[in-house]
Amino acid sequence: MSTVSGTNAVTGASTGSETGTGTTASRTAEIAGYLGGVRAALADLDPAVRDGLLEDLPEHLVEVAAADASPLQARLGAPATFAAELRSAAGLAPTLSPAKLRDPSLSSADLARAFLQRADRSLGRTTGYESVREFLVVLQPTWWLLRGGSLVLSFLAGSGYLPEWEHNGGRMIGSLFLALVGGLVSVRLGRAVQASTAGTRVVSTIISAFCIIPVVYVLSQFLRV
Amino acid sequence: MDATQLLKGVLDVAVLAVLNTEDGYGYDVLRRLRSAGLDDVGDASVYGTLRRLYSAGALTTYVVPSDEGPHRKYYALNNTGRDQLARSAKVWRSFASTMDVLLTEQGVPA
Repeated sequence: MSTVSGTNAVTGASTGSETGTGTTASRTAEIAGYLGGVRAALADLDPAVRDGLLEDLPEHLVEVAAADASPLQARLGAPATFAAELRSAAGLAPTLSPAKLRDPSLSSADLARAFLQRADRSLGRTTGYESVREFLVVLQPTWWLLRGGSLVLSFLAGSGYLPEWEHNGGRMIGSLFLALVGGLVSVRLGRAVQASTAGTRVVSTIISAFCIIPVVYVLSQFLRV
Repeated sequence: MDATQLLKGVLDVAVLAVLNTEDGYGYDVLRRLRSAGLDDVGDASVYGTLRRLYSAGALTTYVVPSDEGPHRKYYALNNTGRDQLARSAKVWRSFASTMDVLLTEQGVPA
């Protein structure tokens, strides 16, 4: 997708030169080359993240080239330097190449992170997704539904309402309906938390982890029946 | 002291503040930050910060087509962004005045 927008922007630049706003064909090639360099330096990123990061870079480079006659590298530094700064400003971890991994000054935390990133990607490919993380994101709404429903069913069981349900069609339908409502509320909550601050997300993840208890309880009850 | 190190911590606030008065595209935001006196701010830092604030849900975007060049993606603050700006500005002001008082009290000339 970003490749397409990139092409558009570069085409836009050459149109610009025709109408006299000052981007020559060699400048267009320079922009495309610089973009390619930045893209290559970000090759280890998840493609969706990388495309998002580079989405409006082509137009930005065209603006820079139009405002400043000096070569792009003179103003922006080498593409790899630009990519490293971009990565850091965007809050992404710096890349660790195999050569850098042998650097004795690296802390064990850095090594652990590099290992986890690599495992994340290689294990993820077995699922057909880019990384385990990406696969888990797809499963997230299912977890929300399960956690909400299980909380409701556990509460009903705790209040003595549920044990009767196998012999009472009305209660069974009622319980399942309430579980569904609970599940949907939980999905809404999950979505809301996603859009909130990092602190809220951490607290919510911890609370959410405790929901494993009702989920296991409810599943074990169902499997027994 | 190296101003670029300080800038790293406050670039979010600076970018949000610049967008508070008027929506802007990447290059425009950079230009406004520089003309406000943040000469050291780098293209990639501003651009990366915009993308991060956008992913975090603090900014919205819209594209404005242009006849004489590439289309421009404008960034605008939404409610989350305005809240973040208000909170961060409060933190920054209190921090800056604490530092001011500290330096004055310790007899460091301005």
